[in-house]
Amino acid sequence: MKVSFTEDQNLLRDSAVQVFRRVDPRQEAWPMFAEMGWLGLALDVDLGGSGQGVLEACIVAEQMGQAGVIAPFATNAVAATYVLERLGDEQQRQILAHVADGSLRIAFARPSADPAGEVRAERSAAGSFLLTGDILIPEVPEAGRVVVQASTQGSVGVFLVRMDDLQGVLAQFASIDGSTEGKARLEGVPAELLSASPDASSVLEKAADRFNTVICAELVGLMDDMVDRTRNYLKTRVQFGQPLATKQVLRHRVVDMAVAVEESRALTLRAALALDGLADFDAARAASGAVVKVGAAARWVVEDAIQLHGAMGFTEELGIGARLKRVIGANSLTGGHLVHLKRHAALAD
Amino acid sequence: MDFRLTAAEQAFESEVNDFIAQNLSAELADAQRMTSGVYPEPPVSRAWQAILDRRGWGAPSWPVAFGGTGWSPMQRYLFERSCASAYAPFQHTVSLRLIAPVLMEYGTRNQQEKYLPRIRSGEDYWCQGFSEPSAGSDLRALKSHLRLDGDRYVLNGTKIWTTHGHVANLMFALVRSEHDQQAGKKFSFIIVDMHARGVSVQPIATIGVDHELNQVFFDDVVIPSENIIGLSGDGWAKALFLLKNERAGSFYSTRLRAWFRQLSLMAKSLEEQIPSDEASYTRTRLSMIELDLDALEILEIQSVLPLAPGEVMSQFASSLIKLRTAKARQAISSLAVDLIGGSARKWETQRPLPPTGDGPTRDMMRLAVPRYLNDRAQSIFAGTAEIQHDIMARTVFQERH
Repeated sequence: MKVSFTEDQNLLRDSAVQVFRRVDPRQEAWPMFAEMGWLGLALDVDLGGSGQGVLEACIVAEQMGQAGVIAPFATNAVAATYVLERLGDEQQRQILAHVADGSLRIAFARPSADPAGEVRAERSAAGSFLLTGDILIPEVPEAGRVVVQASTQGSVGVFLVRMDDLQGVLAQFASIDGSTEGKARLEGVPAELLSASPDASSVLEKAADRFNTVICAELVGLMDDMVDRTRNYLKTRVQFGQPLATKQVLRHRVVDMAVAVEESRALTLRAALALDGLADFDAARAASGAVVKVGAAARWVVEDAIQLHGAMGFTEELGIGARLKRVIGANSLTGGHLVHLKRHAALAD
Repeated sequence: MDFRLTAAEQAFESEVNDFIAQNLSAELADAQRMTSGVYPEPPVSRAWQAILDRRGWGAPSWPVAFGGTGWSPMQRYLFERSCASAYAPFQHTVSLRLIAPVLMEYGTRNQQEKYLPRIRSGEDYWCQGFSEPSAGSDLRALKSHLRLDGDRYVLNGTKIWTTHGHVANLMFALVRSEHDQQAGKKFSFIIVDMHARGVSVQPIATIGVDHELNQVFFDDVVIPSENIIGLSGDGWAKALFLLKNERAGSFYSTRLRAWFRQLSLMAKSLEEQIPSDEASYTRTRLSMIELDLDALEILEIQSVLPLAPGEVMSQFASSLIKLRTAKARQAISSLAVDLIGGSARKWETQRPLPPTGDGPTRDMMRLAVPRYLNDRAQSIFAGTAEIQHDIMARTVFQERH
């Protein structure tokens, strides 16, 4: 058992710290993700990646969260690469090199909440597939392809749709955390089949666990930043002639926030290790467990950061509210506390 | 980073498991399982201590030079994990992990040769004399005092909350030494023979009924000069050393796992008797507790395993583990009380709880209330949860410790 980061992992963290320190959160950070080689971190070496894992992606995501950068890193680096690597044929896997170099972004469609909008696939005369139904696409901007699940002849298939083919049917709208989402009603949109095998849905489930774990890492960094900012504020804000940092009741609350960061980091690490096959824990259960605790912790840690900043915390200018919005957005992308608490409990032995 | 066991680690673990399977009797394991207080009854832990000592494993945390195993933190972790999951009696921390390192660091050769082997064999059983009625979290306020009387010392005063003071034969104590009144030289760290003339022990009744705590009175107790550890007047440093070492390398999560497993088994066997919505609510509460244990286990592993011999973890990590261990244990016993429903009103006053032969579920149900009550102490002893917060706040606010 080796419980410390390797030299390479330490270097990765250090370079992520450096890079995110320089980044302007209002500017497009994607080219930098590609330049640093982070998009191919978890991708096989033969396919243009560096053959590492979820753990390394988490190291990057934590710094991203600390810096308040929002980007479809988890989706591309650990979910899209994983799905295409496992389900694509040789030719389909070739686009992975473009994912790794940042020139092609992939998005994942979510099924519509309305069962009437369920996506169905039918074979066209030309032998390819046509999709019909409603989809939601988080993180849509700049995406070149979208992964869509659709029912086909009694089974579920995983398809790849070109974003270009959604022209005219795609509506875009702003999401809570500043990202853009898309909504589309497909009526015979051409799609490429990745896989219709029964294993395909378990690959998607695993991809979701990987995505969720990296999101947890981002939230750990976000919470860590909240502890720093709250501590710094309490040290400088003077009331009744003394810095607020001298008040025991406030000190203890910041300690509780810091404890939540440590526990969240531990559970995220646990999930990443399991997903990478570096520990014997049940990976699905560990990933759901991380979502349960980290998602909830991130919520109250940012809520407390607002509370401890007083009226300042409530202002748009201070920017803590933006973090709370990211937490809400992220928790909704993972599926959230209740869904994963139920799954964690169901997977108990 | 890789949390899988290497072949060598697996081999070590099997060796430990084999030893436990062959040497841990059902009686001893049951006695540990039925323990409702902090420590098992001394005859139970001493019996297991003697068995371990015969194998050369009596002191897993000591260096070889003092008769310990010289194990790495990893080996200690695997050993503690196997012991905990088999319900092996808890080795006596006060003797093995509190006083022994102080003797190794500051004791004379004579003190080391006299006391350490007797700790390892289980012959000696120590208790801790720090707290006093007026000195709880604020240890410096203690009043028990030592007076120089020719070539010996005389001790007067009282110590309180002395766990197992009624069964221990030795106490280590921090006391004021009146003859040393230079600044910073006002305390001595001494060894008290609990059977010496002038030592009396009074039990303190506590809410969980187990008799663990006592008040100890010293009435002109003669302390021979060989019972001072280090120099007279230099005791504060030893006390700090002990407190720093206190949580330097135990794996509390391993014990919590065993208690959690008992709780899950009880929950499972009661599941058919309760409505399905209550059962699913129970399962989610179990999940929340288990996740706290998962986090604690990782934090503990990451804090302890990289430590070099003699190195201690950061004060933040140490307090964090103390705080969350107490919380997790209280959460386990709290859920247990909820699960047993109406049985919670049944009040048994015999300790340890006598076995009834009604099976493990029944026994666990009987343990629920005594454990719940005793576990209130978890966030009070060895530094209250509030003191732990104060300690951690100094790290979080980037102040000096």
